[in-house]
Amino acid sequence: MTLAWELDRQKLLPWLEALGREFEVIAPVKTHGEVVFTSLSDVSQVALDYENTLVPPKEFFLPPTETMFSFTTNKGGFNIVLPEEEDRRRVIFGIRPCDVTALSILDKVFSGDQGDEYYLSKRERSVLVALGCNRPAERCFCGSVGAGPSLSDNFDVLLTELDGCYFVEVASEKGTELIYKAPSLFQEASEEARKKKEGVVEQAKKLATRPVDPLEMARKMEAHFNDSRWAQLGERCLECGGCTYLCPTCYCFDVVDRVKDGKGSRLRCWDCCLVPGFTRMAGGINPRDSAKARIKQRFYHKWAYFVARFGVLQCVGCGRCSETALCHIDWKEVFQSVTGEP
Amino acid sequence: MKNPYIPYRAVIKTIRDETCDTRTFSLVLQDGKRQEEFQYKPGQFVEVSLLGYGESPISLASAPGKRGYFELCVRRVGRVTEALHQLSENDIVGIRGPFGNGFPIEEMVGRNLVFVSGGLGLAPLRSLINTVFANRRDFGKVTILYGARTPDDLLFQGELAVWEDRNNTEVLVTVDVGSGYWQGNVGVVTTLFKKTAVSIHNTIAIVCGPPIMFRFVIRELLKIGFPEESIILTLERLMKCGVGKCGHCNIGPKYVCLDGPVFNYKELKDLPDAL
Repeated sequence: MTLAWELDRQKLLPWLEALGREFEVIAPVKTHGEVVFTSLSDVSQVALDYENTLVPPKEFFLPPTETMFSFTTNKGGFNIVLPEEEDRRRVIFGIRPCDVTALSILDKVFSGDQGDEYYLSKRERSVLVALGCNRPAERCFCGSVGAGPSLSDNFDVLLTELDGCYFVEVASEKGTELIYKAPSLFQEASEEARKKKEGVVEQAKKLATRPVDPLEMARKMEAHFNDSRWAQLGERCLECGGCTYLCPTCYCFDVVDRVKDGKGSRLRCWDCCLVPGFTRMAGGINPRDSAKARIKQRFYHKWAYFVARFGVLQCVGCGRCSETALCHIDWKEVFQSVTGEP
Repeated sequence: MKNPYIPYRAVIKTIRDETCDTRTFSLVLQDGKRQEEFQYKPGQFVEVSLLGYGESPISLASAPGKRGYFELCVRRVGRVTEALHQLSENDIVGIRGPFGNGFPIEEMVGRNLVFVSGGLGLAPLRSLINTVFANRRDFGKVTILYGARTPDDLLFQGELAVWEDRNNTEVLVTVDVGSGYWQGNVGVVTTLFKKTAVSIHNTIAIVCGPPIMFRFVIRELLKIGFPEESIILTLERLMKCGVGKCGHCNIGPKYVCLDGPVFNYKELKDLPDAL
């Protein structure tokens, strides 16, 4: 059983304030009617009544554009200067369980023998304070893919809202450190609170679960690779890249050089497998040259290829792609079409 | 931790024109120790950086050895390769790698080898062919089938003649479109299968060329009776990172940069958009 505390609701902001003295605190903030992760200048900015943020916090680990190094070139070749990685530690507060699970999926891609220091160093200096979802939105299916609406691992601190207080669980040393920044604000969790929390999570699970077993679904997908439905979905896709932009587990990137006033930098930028140029080679040959092939790539990558390679689905059921992307190509629609189930 | 995205300086030692748009560059890593440690297998590739222009994956065209340099055969076809072609001897480029799996040479020992290549596809095969000839007694009969667009597009012309003179070796060349002085075969590379008896017994076929050639050559090899596992292919893909992160070269559960670029046909035949 994880260590647990209770935190009165009115003590939340004082805790964030205490954390802000040492950490950069990044939290959901309401701006222009949307909730987005923002570096807090004042803890009272934090939004607590949101389903999920418009954009996942992926950008704090894999920025949309990131300098890999800067360079100068001259007759004798080139010199490379690595960017100074910021070392200020930061707290990502209010990250939803699906987005926490998404980071654990990105970890699989960016670690390993050829580890990606840009990503890993940002992970290292970040502490995740997750906020469980008591009322998952209609678009959510995290319960079906085992990514939410609560968590049993991958978080540092997990808050679950109960009447008048938060039930606080800690799963790492980094998490424990945050509690000890203001220990007087926390009290040991009662058995009653623990039971209440379990009840809240059970209730939420029902809301976030669709009648789909993801691995069963992945298996069924295999038999439907040549389904005519894919061509129709391909026709609907606008190749805008919105779904990959909003997806907390999409990680593909392009690498480009920029030179300005004699100073160059090599940048990496988010890329998108739905765009025709994603696989086009110099000379014009494009191995994936139809919208149908590209939309299949996105779906099968998440539901089959990634499972084969890393043993987990590359989808956390946040529903952002189906709700926010322009063409509204909905997972549920794909499920139904592929499995023939209502 | 070592940053896999940082290119190392390499000096262009020599540049040889192969055709009007293709050159072979021999390179030496500027840091002597790094050059010494630069060990690769035929079939592997490097990422070549022209800072300010970008980076391209290019297969190693030379056989590994102790010569202290490596060769890349590059066609001028895009932004980076255009910039590379502007460079002169002693200029500097960036190199990362080697990446990829390389050819399964251990499995080829004691077997007959049939190389089928089209156009620039001969470049990665040349690394393997020269490795085979450097260890000639380890391999059976070598057949090299090579097709180019025109006689002027034939690569490594001097070497083709040298290979032809090796014992137990057959080299057949064809061009899609002939020209005045051309006395040789005319027709696509698959027409060469009619000019020689390729035995499937104890034989491995190694294929590299443009996508359309893959399709026809594979069909031909299967028709002759090659088992799917005995058809070895090396693929070209857009790659940005070379280390399985950027996602561009993904085919089904495989990454061409990590699991390839060398595959056998059995591994690829059911994967989407592979061939």
